[in-house]
Amino acid sequence: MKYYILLKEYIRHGKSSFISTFLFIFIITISLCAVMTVLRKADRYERGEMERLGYGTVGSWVMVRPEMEGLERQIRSLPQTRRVVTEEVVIMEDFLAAGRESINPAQFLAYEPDGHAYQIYQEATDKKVNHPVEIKEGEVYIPPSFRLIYQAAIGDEIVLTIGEKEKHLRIAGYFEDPIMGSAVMGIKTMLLNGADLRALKKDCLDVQGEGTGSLYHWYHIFMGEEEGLTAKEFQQILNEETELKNFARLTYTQTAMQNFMLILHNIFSGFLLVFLTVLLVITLLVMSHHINAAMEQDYVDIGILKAVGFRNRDIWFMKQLQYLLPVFCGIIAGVPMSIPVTGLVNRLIAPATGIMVPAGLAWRECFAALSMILVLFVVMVLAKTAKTGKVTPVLAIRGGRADVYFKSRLQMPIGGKGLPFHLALRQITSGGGHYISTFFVTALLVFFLTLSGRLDAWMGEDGSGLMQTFEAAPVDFYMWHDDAGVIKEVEQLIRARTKILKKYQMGSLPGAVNHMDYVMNVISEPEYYQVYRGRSCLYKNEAVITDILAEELEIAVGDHVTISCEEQSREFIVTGIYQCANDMGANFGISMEGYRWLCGAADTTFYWHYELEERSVAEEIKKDVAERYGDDISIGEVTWSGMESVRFAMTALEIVMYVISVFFILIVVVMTGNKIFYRERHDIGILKAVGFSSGSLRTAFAMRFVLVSAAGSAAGIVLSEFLTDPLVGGILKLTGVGQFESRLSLAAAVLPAVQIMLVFFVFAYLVSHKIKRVTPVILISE
Amino acid sequence: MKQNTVLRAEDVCKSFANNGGQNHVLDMINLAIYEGDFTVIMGSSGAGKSTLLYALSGMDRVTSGRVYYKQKEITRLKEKEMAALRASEFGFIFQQMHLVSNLTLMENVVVTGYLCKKESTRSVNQQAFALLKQMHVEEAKDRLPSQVSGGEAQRAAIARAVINRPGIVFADEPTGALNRHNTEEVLNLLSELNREGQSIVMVTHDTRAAIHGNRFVYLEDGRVMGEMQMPPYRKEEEKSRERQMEAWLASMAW
Repeated sequence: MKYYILLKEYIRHGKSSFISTFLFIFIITISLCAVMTVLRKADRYERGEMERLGYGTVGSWVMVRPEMEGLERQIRSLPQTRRVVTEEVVIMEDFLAAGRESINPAQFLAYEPDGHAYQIYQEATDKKVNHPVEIKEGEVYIPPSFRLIYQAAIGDEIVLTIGEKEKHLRIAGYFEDPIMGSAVMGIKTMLLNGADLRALKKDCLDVQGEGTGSLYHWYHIFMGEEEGLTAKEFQQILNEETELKNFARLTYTQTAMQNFMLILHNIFSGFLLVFLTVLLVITLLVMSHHINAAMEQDYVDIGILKAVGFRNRDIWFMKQLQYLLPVFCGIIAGVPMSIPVTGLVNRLIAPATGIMVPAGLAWRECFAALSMILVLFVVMVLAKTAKTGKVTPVLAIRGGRADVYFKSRLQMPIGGKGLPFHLALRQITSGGGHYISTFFVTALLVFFLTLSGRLDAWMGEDGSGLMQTFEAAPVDFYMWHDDAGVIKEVEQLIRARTKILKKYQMGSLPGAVNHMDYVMNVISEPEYYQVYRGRSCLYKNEAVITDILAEELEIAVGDHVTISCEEQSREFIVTGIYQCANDMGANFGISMEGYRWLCGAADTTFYWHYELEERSVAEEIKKDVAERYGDDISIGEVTWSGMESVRFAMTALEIVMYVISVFFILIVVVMTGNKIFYRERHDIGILKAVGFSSGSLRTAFAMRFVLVSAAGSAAGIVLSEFLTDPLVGGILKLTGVGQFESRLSLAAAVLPAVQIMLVFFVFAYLVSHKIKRVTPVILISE
Repeated sequence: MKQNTVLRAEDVCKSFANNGGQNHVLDMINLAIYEGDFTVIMGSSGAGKSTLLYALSGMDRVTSGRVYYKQKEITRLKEKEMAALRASEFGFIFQQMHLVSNLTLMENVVVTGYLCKKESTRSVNQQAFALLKQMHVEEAKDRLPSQVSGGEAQRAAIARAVINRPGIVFADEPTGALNRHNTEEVLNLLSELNREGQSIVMVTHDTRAAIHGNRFVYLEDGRVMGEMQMPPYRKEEEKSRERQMEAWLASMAW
């Protein structure tokens, strides 16, 4: 009973800190469970769906043509191959989706619930249809990412042009494509009625490859389990032992496809996990500091309790309960609340990620993460409350308070002008560690917000910065025409609007390094490759590779590699590491001279690429050229289907981070402010007695937080200067971005700091309303 | 000679809620404080002395009645106006060491001076130093309140109370927490200030402290029970003043 009474009193006395700690942990629990679930469950679900739908160890798309006859037999005859399932698909290079021109190709397949039993949805983000769906003639089912990329919805049309014919398909629903559904992936799948697909195949065959659609065989190649090979090694054998690499348009292992699909999940979760770690550190700091301050205030009470017979052990136990109870409560309340939040997050990101992870938490991972958090708090509380043992009744009653007040201070003179500022500064310098938590909270929050600002700046307002990382060399506009005169005319048209900074010819072709398939970039001016280690491939027998490829193949600058293309192979020297996130960084680059040396005078189309001084005119130029030359010329500007989803992800992340930051600042101010107010009530009474108004004292109170948060902000900006690039670079490597270098203007660096300081000021001013209630009368009773 | 009234209380009442009932600490107080007087409010414990002092100085709101300072009603002033009045017109000395704990003695004095904005920073600094010197604590000026004796702190508090040359200084048992030597010092300083023309209202239950005044008000159960006048304090008349005081207090049933 005595414990109950004491605990009740402790909690009642420290009501605001109990609520604050509870809220801290509640938020962290919800966010952590959501992130862990999104991260782990998406991974498991993605793998499970691939298994369930019957995709092979390696998937390969091969255009149907007479020369590839016998390829399937070659693959089947390999001892490592268990079985091969062939699916007929049509790949359309261009189409219209809800009136918008496609930016990537799409494959069409017939939906057969007995074959690939795709999950069908009535809405883009929810409402799974739990019964076999019959796709009627003229209907098409699209991946949810089409909502983001083309703003396409049920009732809109997909229009295909094959030769002179146009085929109109009505969007009847959505389906989950665990292999290409993510918005960041170029090629997309659409489901058709069997009769429609047959008609489409016939139309494509009728135009004999003159149209934009072609018939492909999609091979699902299963590796024998007893082989003990990795999927990548199996792919290597397929390339070495069969003609697959000569015919395949695309070949991916199941693992590679899973990695592609999970890019957004990983980016999302990676950033949020780092942010949550920051929040956890903040909570530990604030709570540790709060316990210190509370212990100082309870010094006398502890002494009195000891004087009346309470043992050290009893008091220590009560103190642990007092501080750990809100942590327990926060976790217990947070876990069930995280279930709907996780569902909401999944629904929100489904159009971007392409998969709809089922409801429910990743219990094992959440339990492990929360247990770790709990252990951290228990250790911290045990350590912090251990000092109860050192308090003796006499020591405490005699002078606990005098001992803990203003141990140190800096001699900053107090001036007549700006008195609230001087008083605020004095309170900070004499307050010792009371503002440490505010300092660290600000430093960490500003660091994180500046980091996201840097990321934003790197991506560019229109996403051009991000898109350039997917290019082997700087480019804003590209075109192709077989008449050199037309090229010259178009260049004049460009020059009329802006200056051409760089001009080169480039193409991306299927190639292989040491018999592993990768995209091969070929450039006429190899000095334009974005090389950041070593040097570019200036001679014909030289190549540059990405960091991702270097890691995957365990090769480095100076190594010799075998590069293959169009059934030819030669030895090249790797001269540098370059930046190109195309195909998740699985690519390499050689010079045009090197390409001719490797493949001879092959009949390959190399587009003319231009970097413009004023990139915003690229769109206008494209329109002008299209109007003047129509379909005779191939033109394009740099764009990427994943752009919208990445920007969506970034915006969502920033909103989440800002909301949580504001909430954390509020809690920190409430906790710190209450402690400070309690300590300084006496001084506030004196200052009021000598003529200070509540307004000026409140301003001085809020100003302290501004001053401390200004110092914390400076630390946060410095921190972001040193830590952003390695941290963000590490996460972006998942997407194939080998190098991340951020720059931030002074204004962009200072803006989050000013916002944080302002929030601190407003909250501190609001929290300081208690000052109004203090009258000098308190001095009579003391 | 008729004295100017500097502070006047009219029908002042102060009540506190107590277990559903009302506890009347001040009951219809009518009192005038005159310019240049050293008024001493006396009474037994719980008589309402300090409550009256805080009501007169506007530190506490009265339940009913009015208080006028130089003909201006202060009971209805807004918090900001009251703060300004306290800064410029009232000085306060408390029983306990009520100095701001993280300011030095000098800073405690100058901050009050800066607040009033009557003088330049330089002038306030000079006056503060002069006052601390007058109070014999100039050597401790750069120490924190926790680093000086109670007497030194209280002398600094007196300097703080008069830095803005207030119309009136309120002292609530200013020697209550001091030893005999410091008590003497503080009372002599207050007498010295009064001789220089400073109006003082002091609450005390110590007759040896009370004799430093020239006008005495006796309070009992929240009511003014009697008043007495004496000539201004002179050290050589201490004994006779004490006897006179004791006789008066005896008549008040002290």
